Amino acid sequence: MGNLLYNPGLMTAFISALLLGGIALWIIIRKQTKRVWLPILQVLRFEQRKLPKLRFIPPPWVSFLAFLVAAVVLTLFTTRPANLIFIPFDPKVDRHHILFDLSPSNQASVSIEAYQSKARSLYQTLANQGKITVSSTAGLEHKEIATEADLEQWLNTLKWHPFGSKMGSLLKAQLDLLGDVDRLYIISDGDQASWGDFNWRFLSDEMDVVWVSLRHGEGNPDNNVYFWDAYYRGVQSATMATWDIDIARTKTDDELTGNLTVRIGDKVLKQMAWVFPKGRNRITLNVSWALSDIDQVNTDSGQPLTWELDGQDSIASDNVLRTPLLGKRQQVLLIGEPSGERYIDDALQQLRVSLDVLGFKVQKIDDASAGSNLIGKQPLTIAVGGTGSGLKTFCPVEELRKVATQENQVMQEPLSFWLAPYDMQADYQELCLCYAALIGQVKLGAMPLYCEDVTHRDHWADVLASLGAKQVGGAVGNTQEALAWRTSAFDGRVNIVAFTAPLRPRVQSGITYASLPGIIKDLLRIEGFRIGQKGEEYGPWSRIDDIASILSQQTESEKGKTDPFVTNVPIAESQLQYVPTEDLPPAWLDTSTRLSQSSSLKQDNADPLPWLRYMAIALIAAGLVEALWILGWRLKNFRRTMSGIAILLACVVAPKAEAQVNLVTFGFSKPTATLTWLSREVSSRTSIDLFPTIHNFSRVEKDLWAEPWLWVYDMRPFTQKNGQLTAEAAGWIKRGGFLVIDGVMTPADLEKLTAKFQFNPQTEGWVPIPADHELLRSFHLLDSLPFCGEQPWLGFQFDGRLAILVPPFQLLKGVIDEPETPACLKRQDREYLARVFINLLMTALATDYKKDQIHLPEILKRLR
Amino acid sequence: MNSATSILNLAPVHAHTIQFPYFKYTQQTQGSFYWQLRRVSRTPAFSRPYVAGDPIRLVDWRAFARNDQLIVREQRENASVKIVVILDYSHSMLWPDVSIEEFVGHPLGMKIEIATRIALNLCFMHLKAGDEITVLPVNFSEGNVPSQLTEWGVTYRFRSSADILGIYNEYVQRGFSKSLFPNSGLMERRPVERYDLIYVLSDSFKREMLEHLIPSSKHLHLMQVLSSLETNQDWIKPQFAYLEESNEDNEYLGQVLLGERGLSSRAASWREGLRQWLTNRGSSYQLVTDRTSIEEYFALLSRMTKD
Repeated sequence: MGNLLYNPGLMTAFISALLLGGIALWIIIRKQTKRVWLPILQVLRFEQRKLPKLRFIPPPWVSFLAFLVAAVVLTLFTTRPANLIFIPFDPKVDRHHILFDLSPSNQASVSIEAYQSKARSLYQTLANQGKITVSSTAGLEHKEIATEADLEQWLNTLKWHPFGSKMGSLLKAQLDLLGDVDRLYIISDGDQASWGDFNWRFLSDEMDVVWVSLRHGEGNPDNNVYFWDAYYRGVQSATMATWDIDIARTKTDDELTGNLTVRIGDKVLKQMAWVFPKGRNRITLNVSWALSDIDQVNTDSGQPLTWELDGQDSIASDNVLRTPLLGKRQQVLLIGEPSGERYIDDALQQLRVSLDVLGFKVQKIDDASAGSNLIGKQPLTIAVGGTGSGLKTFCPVEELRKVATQENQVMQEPLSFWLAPYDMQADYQELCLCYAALIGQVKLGAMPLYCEDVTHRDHWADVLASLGAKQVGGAVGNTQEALAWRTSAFDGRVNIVAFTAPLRPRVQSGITYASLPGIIKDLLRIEGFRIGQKGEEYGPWSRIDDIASILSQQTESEKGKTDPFVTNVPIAESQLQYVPTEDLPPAWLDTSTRLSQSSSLKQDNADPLPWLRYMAIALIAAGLVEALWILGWRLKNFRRTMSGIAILLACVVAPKAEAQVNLVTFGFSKPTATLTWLSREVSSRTSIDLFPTIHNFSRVEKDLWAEPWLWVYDMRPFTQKNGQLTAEAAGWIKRGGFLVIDGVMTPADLEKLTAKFQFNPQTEGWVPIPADHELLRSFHLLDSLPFCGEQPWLGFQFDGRLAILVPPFQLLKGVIDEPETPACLKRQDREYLARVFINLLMTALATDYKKDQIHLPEILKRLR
Repeated sequence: MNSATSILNLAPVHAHTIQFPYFKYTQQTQGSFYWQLRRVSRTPAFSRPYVAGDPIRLVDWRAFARNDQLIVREQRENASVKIVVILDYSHSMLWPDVSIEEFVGHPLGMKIEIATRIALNLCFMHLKAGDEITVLPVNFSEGNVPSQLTEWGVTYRFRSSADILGIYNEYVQRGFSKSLFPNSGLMERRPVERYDLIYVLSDSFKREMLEHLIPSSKHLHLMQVLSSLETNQDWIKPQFAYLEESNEDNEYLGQVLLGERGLSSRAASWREGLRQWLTNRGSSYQLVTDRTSIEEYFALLSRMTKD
């Protein structure tokens, strides 16, 4: 059973179809049912088995629209057109990709020219059928081919690449860069090494894969000769480097001959013939050449040895093997006095032979001062001293220091400097002086204290031990048994080995002719020199299995790095194990050179995460919108509750309710005067708060008419030419404003002011304030109002209240903080004026409130 | 049932004497008088001699001073009982129509026809008894009827029996479903100011209308007019659908209405609930269908007036 597939688009369509079918069925049933109107049913209750009726219930619109949009988006996404199957002559729809397998194994089937012509013909068949891209197994990059010229240009760059590739992982890396491809053409042979990891099923699910086989080309792929393995055997004699090379072939039917050529750069090191006897598929060739041939080769360039096979062969590229250059001799410099013709007595002769045997190239100078240009060029310098010919002949301190302190010289390994006595009876003091200069204690020639007593080997050994050198040879802690002492100088750039015994066969030291090379070799190993040994350095040749891993590394790091190991042909590539075509994965048809596999389901392994993400976002958004909608709906429905809550909140949060009154004046001569005292008095006696400042207007503004009362000192802005109040002022008074004209005006002028007012002249109009007026009893009970001369207090009674008051003097000036009691008022104190002011305030705000006896009947009823 | 005695043949002239125990009925004057006369009138036209039982305060003491006669003065118009007949002409009253008659297979009278015949008959009888008659056609299915009866709009006031017979003849000729009351000179756009007795002729599907009427009326008599198809379920066919046209517009299959608690028993319990509800509020309830005979009608009228 295949995978269970869930396609939201298909699901939606299926559900929609079911829904439509249901509606159609419902319509048919309803149409066929005859209906009778029975009015009494509206008062009878029949709950069960009602005939279903299609009824429109309006949804919550916002959330419904959100769901609708989400559904449309999901449907659009899920109905993304699947990859189209290749249809001939359907232009500009498909995207074709051609992968050229340039593994060496293809070389067995076809030449590069034939390969190119095959590519051309394939291109011509595809030219008008879509977009074409090409790539090869030689790299990850691909190229879009728009014209034949593009193709030719690209074909000219085609070369067999020298290593094998794993088709699957390479293709995966390429397709990641390519994106969606409708149809993939792979031009390749059937080499199983290349196709080993190829997941055909995965690819054919994704796209149409066509394999264009090269198997039907010319050539005999069975007859391949290739390198199997390579071993470096070291230096067999003092002068020859030896390799064992295994070569193999794929067919053992008959004898096969050919040549093996070893090159370094352009120089041929060795050429030899090989013969595969009949029945054998592997032979070992022993190849050796003189070490002197490679002494001149510059090893720093990293140039590898190139091994080439020629002969009857099908794959050319695996006929080349690259290995590092091994066996190249290292150089050593010997410094020591010659001993004339007597080789046996020559202190350096045996040492020289030993180094030769170990593969070193020995250079000798007699006098250090004479050959100073050579010192420091070789990795190892051996100085033999103590002959009494002078320090400078064997102790090149200055030269070593010069080399070691050169800033520009990149010293990968520290130099080695060996200091040895020429014989057991050598002048050890001379060696001590050299050693002291080398380690930087004194200048060359100066005598440090510890060298004064050095005359024999045991003194010398003790001095070396006490100077902190490390023991080489002998029992640990026994200074006399030590062969040498090791330390470093010049900031670690020069390793110094000071010997206590001469490097020559001697009975006293126990060094024999036979053991000297062994001792030297061990010492060199301690110093870090690579000494060749049979089969030890390099085992079976390392090869690369998967080209893709290298390619991806190359893209990340720098390209074109010539590592001989990387560029070798994998062994699997050369073996070319052919299997019958039908065994190749999966069923490849071999009836034609062009095979195709098509697939129907393209989406089954597409990444579902984006769709899930879209769905989640849409659902969350829809849910949020619905939640907001419901919240809004509820708030709307709870308007009454909300207003109740608002009132409750107002009760809790609102400031203390107190009457606050501003003293409003117009044209007052002291507008900056304060009312601190009066304000305090008013607040303490009544429940009214009077602001301690005066709100003075200098011109008529709109705000003025919002005030409850007004003290006027200049009537001009409020009167017309005929002396009547302006319409605004009159309207304000009619609306309930209380006007205090705090200054003298004649009764005639006053009459003019209110000429337009309609009132009952019997009870209302301008009258002197009588003794029983509310002004005298609204708060304080006053006997009379303060008089100023003969002037009475005039009041304009209107609308059942006192509307305009004209005191006979400027009352306000008597109650401000710096009072100016009017001259006419004698002995009238401020308290009296304040009481009048408070009464006036109460009258202005509450009129004759004491007359309001609406509650009196109830009070009387209770009293009875 | 003899078709001649069916209520669908009820005419205004079918005689019956109405006597209400709470109205004083005297032969001296027309109309069914109240025990308590309303007020004194100085107009001689409304004078009559004192009869034992008349309130003393209605005696015209000045006339007595002049001529030693006890004269009672009262205003006749105010004295006669004011009867309001409320006729429901809601949509459901125009049922069963011709399609139902075809469906059932025999002729049926519309509920509106029964109600109109009864209304005219009641008008005729009360007019004969000297009462003031007002007919108030109301569409119960319209929800926006004022709660106070005095605010209701169009009324018809009959002043003579000839008016009633004229209208009846017109109905008989034109059919009872055509128009409610012919647009005659009887129509008045005058609110009902005072009323003593209310007859309601309705199928009472809108009980809230009765809730409006009951608190404002002293005596309310509901004559529930239903079709016989609404009281029994014999005619229902199981495979058909039956619908109602209220706000919900439900439809039921016939087999639902024919079930154990089918249409008949549910309708009966609904009617019983309505009757209980009305009697608890001091009103009376009677059921009239097209199966009711004229005799049964008069019998239930008598029962009703004795309650």
